[in-house]
Amino acid sequence: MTASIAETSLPPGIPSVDAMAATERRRGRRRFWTALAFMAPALLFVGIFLLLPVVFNIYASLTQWAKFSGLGEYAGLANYERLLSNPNFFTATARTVVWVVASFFLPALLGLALALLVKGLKGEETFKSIYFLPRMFSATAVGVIWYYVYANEGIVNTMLRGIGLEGLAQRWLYEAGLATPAMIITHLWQQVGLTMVLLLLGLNALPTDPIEAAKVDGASRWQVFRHIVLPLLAPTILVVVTVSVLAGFTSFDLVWVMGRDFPNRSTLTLAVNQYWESFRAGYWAYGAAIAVVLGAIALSISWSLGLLQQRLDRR
Amino acid sequence: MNMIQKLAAAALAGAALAAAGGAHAQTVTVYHDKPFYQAGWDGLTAAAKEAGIDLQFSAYTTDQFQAFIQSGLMSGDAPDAFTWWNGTKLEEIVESGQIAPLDDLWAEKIAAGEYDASAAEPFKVDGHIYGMPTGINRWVVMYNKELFEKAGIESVPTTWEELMAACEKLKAADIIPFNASIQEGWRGFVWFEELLIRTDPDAYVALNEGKLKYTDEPVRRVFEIWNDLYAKGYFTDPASQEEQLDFARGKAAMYLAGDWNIGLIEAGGLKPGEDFGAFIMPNVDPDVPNVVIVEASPLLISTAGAQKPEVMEFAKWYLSSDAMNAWATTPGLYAGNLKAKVPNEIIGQIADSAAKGNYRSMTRYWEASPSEIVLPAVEEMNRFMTDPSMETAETAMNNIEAIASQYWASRQ
Repeated sequence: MTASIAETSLPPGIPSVDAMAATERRRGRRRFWTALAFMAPALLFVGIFLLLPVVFNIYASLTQWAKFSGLGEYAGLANYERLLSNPNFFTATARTVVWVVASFFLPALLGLALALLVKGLKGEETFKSIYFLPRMFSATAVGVIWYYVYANEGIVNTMLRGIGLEGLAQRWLYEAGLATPAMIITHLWQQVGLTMVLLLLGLNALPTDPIEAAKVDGASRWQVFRHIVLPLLAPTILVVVTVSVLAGFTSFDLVWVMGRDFPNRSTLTLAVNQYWESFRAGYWAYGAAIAVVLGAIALSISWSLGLLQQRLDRR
Repeated sequence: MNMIQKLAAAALAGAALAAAGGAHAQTVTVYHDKPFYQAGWDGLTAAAKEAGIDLQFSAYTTDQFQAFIQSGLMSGDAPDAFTWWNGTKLEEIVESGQIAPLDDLWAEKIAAGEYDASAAEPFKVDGHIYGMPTGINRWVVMYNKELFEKAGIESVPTTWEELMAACEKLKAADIIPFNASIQEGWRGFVWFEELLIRTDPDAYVALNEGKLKYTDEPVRRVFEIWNDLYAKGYFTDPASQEEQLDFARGKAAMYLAGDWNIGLIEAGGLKPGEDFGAFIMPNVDPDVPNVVIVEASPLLISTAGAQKPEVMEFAKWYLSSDAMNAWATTPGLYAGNLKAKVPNEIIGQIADSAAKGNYRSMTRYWEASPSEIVLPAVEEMNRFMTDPSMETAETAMNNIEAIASQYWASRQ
């Protein structure tokens, strides 16, 4: 009824609403296919190199694949059960949590402190470049360099002995309580330059009006920082935290280079344990199961941080 | 002959020539995880070229190499030729059905007097010979002659008491007696296996076959001796990453290692024979039979590789004295060819001592025990080395036994 009224009320020569809707639908479909054609190379790339391996990995985790055979033999959830009954899994998870917690707070805190210290200084660019420099090296190279920094006759122990603190000289990478903190320090050394640069960008992009207004109202430097700068900088801090946590969570090269020889894998995180089980021991299916768990945790972390980001953006 | 016929004949002749040329130009690629023998690989490549074989080598780190070979075999696309390990590791790869037996080739070489039949023993699985040796290496104690002299040690120790007395003299001269590290994560078993064969070689065999527990007396005794040597300060810091160089630099006077290390020590600046010598470690108990650890590393040919004439031509050439001279001389390796030059005087001396003392060869722990036990066991032994005490030893014995008993139970 409505349609017929609309039809009759239209001047001659003008297409009906239905016809216009159909044209629009056709156009929409064409746009979709055009967009898809443009996206196809990227989709294909993601499909082949990301999604397919993920699906294969999940499948592999359900098989008996070890060394030269077993890929076609179904194992059910046996690999996951083995994971839960293996104390190595829990200690590796605990160490991964230490890495995540350290990565959550320290890179952002130190980066912020450095950014505030450097901001507006004469030679800001030079400082920025110097602090960013370690980020230019691969984590493997950094691991090798710091392996020797921490060595028995490395720079740390030599300096300690030089200033008469011989008692503090340690086997940094070979004491259970020291190895992980030592590696985290190395990770920070490399990571902080990036967080500092990101936070500096955020700081420089802040609107000056509210800060000036607060100063005029007599706010102290701390009050300005706490109530104006920090809330305005929150989105940047969240980006920094997300980047740092994921970097810490998946940290592999550094831990492998610096900690793979530590007895009983006592310094290894989940990611490195997964590599160890697959590549060194040849338990491919079991390694795949660790990878699935690792992926699920990483996904949930990045998802939660993404949700937080959305809430901040809405605010 | 018309033009078309001429063209067709020319094309056919060209194709035949290309095929003939192509067959010779087929490159044989050998994959390995031993980049530290680069001089040897280069020597082989050059000598192969002279023999008309186009040869190239491709190196991986051990972990990646194992993964590469395993995935290759899994997908039925094994490389033509690659290095591997003997013992249980050889057995499990042969089980895949993709490794070619080389019985005929060996029979030919043995008949020609180029090899002793015993050289093929480490590569036998179910009566067939798989692989050709890249090295047949004894594990011996290398000693720094200058440091021995400095400590006043006049002759090479031939009994355990003499060895301990030498250690005391070295300590008195402020020299650490033994070099030992957990470098690369695998070295933990070296002293463990040596002390076990020096106290009870039968127990060593029984342990590797699952007939002895890691908590049994022979194993405990090994840890007691080992712990005692640590308590006396006889070992270097295990955290070092430069084991061979440490010995070459004189950080310790003695170094228990495979004789394949001789070339690497030489590269570090000590001349074999002149600056350092070697001896087989004396037995702790004089009554036990003489045995010596032998590490035999094979180069395998896959069944797919064995189908290719150029790969088999390479295999035949590889076992020749020409190839072995090119391979063994530079890195100081010896791979058993009786007509090849002995690469250095230490290897000759050790071979003599082994023959005179009627030393029986024993497979290295890494290859003699199932890898399901070896990997975690070595981790426990590494831990003992970084924190040596009987308490760590007890934990290690219990932890290894838990894994070993589970493994052997699953095999029944």
